Amino acid sequence: MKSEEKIFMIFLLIIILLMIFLSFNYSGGSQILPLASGIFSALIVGFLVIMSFSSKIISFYQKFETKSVLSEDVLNVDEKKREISVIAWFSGCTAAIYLLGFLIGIPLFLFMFLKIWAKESWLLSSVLAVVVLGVVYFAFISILRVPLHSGILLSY
Amino acid sequence: MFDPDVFWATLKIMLNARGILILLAGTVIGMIFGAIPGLSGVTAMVVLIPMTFGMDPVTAMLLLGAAYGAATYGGAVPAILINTPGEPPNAATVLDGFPMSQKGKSGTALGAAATASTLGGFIGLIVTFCFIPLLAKFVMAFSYPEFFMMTLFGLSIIAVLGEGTLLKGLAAGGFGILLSCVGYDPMTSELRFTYGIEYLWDGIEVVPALFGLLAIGEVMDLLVKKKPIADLKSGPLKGAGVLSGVSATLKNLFLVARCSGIGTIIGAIPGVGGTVAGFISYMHAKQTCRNNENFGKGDVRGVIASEAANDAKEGGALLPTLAFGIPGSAGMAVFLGALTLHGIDTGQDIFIANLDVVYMLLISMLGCHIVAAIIGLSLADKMALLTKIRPVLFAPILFLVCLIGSFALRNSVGDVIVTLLFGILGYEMRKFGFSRIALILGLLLGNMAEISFRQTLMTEAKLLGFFIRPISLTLFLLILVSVILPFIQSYRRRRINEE
Repeated sequence: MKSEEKIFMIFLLIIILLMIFLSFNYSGGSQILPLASGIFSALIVGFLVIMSFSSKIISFYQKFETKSVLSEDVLNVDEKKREISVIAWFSGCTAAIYLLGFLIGIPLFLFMFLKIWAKESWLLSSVLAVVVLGVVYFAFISILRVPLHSGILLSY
Repeated sequence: MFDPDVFWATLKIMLNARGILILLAGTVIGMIFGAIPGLSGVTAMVVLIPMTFGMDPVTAMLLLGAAYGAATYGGAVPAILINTPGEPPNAATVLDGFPMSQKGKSGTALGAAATASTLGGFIGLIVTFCFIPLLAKFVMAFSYPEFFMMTLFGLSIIAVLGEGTLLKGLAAGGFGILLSCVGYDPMTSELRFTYGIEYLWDGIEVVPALFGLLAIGEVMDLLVKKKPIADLKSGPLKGAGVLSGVSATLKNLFLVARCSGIGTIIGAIPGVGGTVAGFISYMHAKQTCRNNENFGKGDVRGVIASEAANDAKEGGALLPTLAFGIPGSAGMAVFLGALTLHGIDTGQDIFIANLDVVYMLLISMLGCHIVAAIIGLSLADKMALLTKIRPVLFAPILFLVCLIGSFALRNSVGDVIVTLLFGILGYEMRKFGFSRIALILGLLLGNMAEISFRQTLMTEAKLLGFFIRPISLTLFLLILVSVILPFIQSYRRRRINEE
């Protein structure tokens, strides 16, 4: 977990530093808060990154905290695989909604996720997909009259 | 100002068969809208306003007041059960509500939330209407320096959150403030961090970010670890401890009163918002309660504090809306619109010409709290079963609800993408012990802090402007105390342990 945490913190630090760099382009008053909050966060995240490379600094700083400074939670191999697949499935669902709209994307994602990822039965996967679609249609389209996104592929 | 004849006549309207039916309908609709992430009491009122066109103003206020008042309790339900606040003001409830659910004590948390909401709502409304002149003076004394100090007060809670380490909390809070700068500069309209993307011109919307960070982050964790929300070893959910939640609230009546007072005062200040009220009350509870080690890990007093303040703020928010015609929140702005639609002018005249409307708003909000508490308490053990469902069945549906909820806010697909991105960020933050609530606080209050800070500099010309006004200086001292106090308490505790 430590290497993953290091990567996460370095990634966060790079984003913050980029935002600080961009802040210098803004006019007087507009750069006050981005610079102040950016430098503040960069210093802390930078310190965390340095700490993650040095066990001496960790053991010194740990005296001031009741909780462990670096995460102790460790994922096993199966959990790591699931983590990547869940992120991929959720990203795919968002892409399906963007391209095909909510009314196609929702049942499609739900059915495929339950059938392929969760290995549920055909019946349960289909019933849940249809029921959720029905509830969404009834609540958002029939009652609330929310114009649900119809997908960029189908809106032409 | 109190006119008993008008009051009794208004009460009779609410207590006849038609009135009770409207109160029930309003409360149930409000609870449902509050409980669905993405919808809110404001949405409920917007949907209901067209239905009030055929009603007289007093009956219309009964329906709208009940719907709006009940939504806040409705928002606590998903906050406790699935780590997703139904509305942003319920965000502080997740701090202890969700850990209670994970321990199998969701019934206790729901019972405490229902009771604290009812009591908070009562106290807020009664205090407001008893102390209108005093509160009005206090509200009128608020200017830019005070607003800045209020936002700083809200941000100072990061120091006492207890979710992850202090260093990571501060980093997340700072990053949240940085993200709040995305979009138009509120003072000069200069574009910041938009990278040519038109969607970012309006900045990052808080609600999709909130759903992503809290709900989707949690959904991903449930699927990765393949375990239900509630710890299955915690025993059966029969009864689910609803009554113990009620009794815990009644045992902490003084805490309820204090947090309701905080909620009422903050609610009365236009523009500060209920989210700040919830977090400041939570911080107050954590700092003043004995044996506070369990705050953030599932202490029922955390739920009581935030829920009492949340509902009390509605009473406070009525004051500037009715007395000055200044809506303190989006909900109050819709109320103001509804009053105008029904031909009622706000300001001092409403307390003379339309006192019945004022009373109806007051008693409908009181009535809806009672109805919401009865419904909430009787259904709490059923709702608690949600935490025991297999995550593979429940998590993808919750994910979809969050996406639709985000979209429904502004009909923007961009919000759906933001929800997913913040979901992934929230999952990683959760995994590595970074406080997600701190990031939300930064995102929520950063903009408000920037506007009030720069307005103060423009009007007062120098930094001293923050410290020469009595309320601003008092708030500053309170911030110092609330930030330093946890360190003193922790130092004292360590010394006692060493001895």
